Amino acid sequence: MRVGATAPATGVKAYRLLSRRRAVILGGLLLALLVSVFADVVLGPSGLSVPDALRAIVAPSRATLVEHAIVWDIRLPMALMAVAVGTALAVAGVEMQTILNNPMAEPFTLGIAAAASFGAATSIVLGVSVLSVGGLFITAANAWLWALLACLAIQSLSLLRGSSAETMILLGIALVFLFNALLSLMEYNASEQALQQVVFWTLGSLTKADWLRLAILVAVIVLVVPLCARASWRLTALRMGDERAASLGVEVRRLRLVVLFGVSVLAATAVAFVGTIGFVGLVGPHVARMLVGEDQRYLMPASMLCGALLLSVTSIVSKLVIPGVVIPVGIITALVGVPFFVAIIFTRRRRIWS
Amino acid sequence: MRIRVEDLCFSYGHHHVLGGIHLDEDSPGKLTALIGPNAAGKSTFLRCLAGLLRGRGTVHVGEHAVASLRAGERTKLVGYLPQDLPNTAALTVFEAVLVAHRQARPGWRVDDADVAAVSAVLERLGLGDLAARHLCELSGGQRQLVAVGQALAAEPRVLLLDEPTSSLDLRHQLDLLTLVSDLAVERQMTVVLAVHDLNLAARFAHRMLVLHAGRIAARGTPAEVLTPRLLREVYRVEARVLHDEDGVPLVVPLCSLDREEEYIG
Repeated sequence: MRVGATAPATGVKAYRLLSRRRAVILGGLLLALLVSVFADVVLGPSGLSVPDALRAIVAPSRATLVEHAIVWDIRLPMALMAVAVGTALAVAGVEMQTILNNPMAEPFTLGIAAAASFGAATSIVLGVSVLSVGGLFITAANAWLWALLACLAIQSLSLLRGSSAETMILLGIALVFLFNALLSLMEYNASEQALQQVVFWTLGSLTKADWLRLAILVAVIVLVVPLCARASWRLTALRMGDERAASLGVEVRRLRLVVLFGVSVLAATAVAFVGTIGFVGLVGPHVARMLVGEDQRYLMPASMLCGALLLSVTSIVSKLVIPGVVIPVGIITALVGVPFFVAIIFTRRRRIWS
Repeated sequence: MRIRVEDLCFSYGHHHVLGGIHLDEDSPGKLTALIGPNAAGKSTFLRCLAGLLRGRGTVHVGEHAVASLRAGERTKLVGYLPQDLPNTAALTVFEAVLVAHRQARPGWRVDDADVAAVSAVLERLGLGDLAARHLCELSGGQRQLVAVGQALAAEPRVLLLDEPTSSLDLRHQLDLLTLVSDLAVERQMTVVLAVHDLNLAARFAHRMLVLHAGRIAARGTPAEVLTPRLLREVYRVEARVLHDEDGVPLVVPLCSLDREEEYIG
């Protein structure tokens, strides 16, 4: 065909430049996240001054017992939980969007959060627990189990229909309605006290965070993220369409099932511990995609950082809105996220979902 | 590389598409055109050859039964270009070909060899200037060229192209088929392409396979295959077949034989 009139290296140079720019963006996001986590730890409703909080972090031995407890037992686990939950939800969101080739896919549209809420409600209202793990985690374990059941239901039902993305999304939406109805039924029959607990649970709050829960969630992240990372090239190929990916050697059905299961476990774990925190799994990946494009080697880390940053900033805002009160973070995510998201929709230049 | 197909049948549910295809072609460096009316089973046949669909019967490429190969081995042997254009993802042209090139090998790092291979493919297709553009900013024809680049990136021994020229203008149709012919000779690659344009197919193909209602209705050189009788029976079209000075047939359609019959898409 046409002999390249320009230097043959134009494309190469542009690609190298793009790669460098993306690395810089990832670095910038990481820096912003560190600043945000720091602010999240030193700010709070307990009246601990910023210098005191600082001292409790750098020199724990010189802090008073109260200062030590506030910083090390409450604020740090909460701040880090925000990062872990944001990471988990964003990874789940970005991979669900990728494997289902749908910009609306995230743990919530697939019914995972609705199922978790229902699971939590059964244990709160009925005192029923499917797993008999120590009393500490009854609600979380129940929520986790129901979320996984929802995921398995989607997977096994969609297997009957060839595991197409369309089937999975439609089944997911059906499950959202099913579990919302069951949740309402549960709430309708609940005692006043139980109802209050259920509502608080579904609002989503980081105040339930502690080191043990954090460690469990981080462990799941460490297990699932490499699974997705190894599939980077295959996942990127999937965005160009099922048949094209298959023609390039991707086992589409298997990849879809394995990755969806992995990220569902991840989302279920996050939601089980902190309740319904919406929007992070949707917005984080979209912002990341705008910043670094669709190459999963950059998109996945960028999504993790965006999700973590979004939830971390939200956590700070939730402490500042009403002085002395920590508003459940699930409420704030949408309030912070929606205007941001609408702005994205109106400023984007490219139509990237065909 | 030799392609051997024995009694290949395929159906989507109760809808039979391919009914007992036999084929034994060994024409490295040559283009074989797969022609036939709409819904004749051309795409299904190509997908079976590519190992993406598994029907009854066997498909061998070289020594291998394609259906039993692992995905990675299969793509090194058989490259397949689907008929649909690639989705408009937020990938640049360079990345789209890079992704195709890197499927075979795990690991994250893109080394100099990868970059050189991708830019060679792009230059070859005349896409060098578009390398940094996003897929969503391209025209349909440009996206089709990117798709061809993806199919070439794995350097397969057999290349199956499903209507590679459907979105291209006249010049690009000629350019693309010239390029594919050249590559076939250079790499001693067997190329099978499904096309609707009979005259284009006749000009570039060494052999023609006519698929009609899930069976092979005729095979041979374009001059042997393209006869008024075949066009009447398979395409239900009255046509005149002329020959240019090189003996290449030229089909001039005159009228449809059964306009009243319902079109089956």
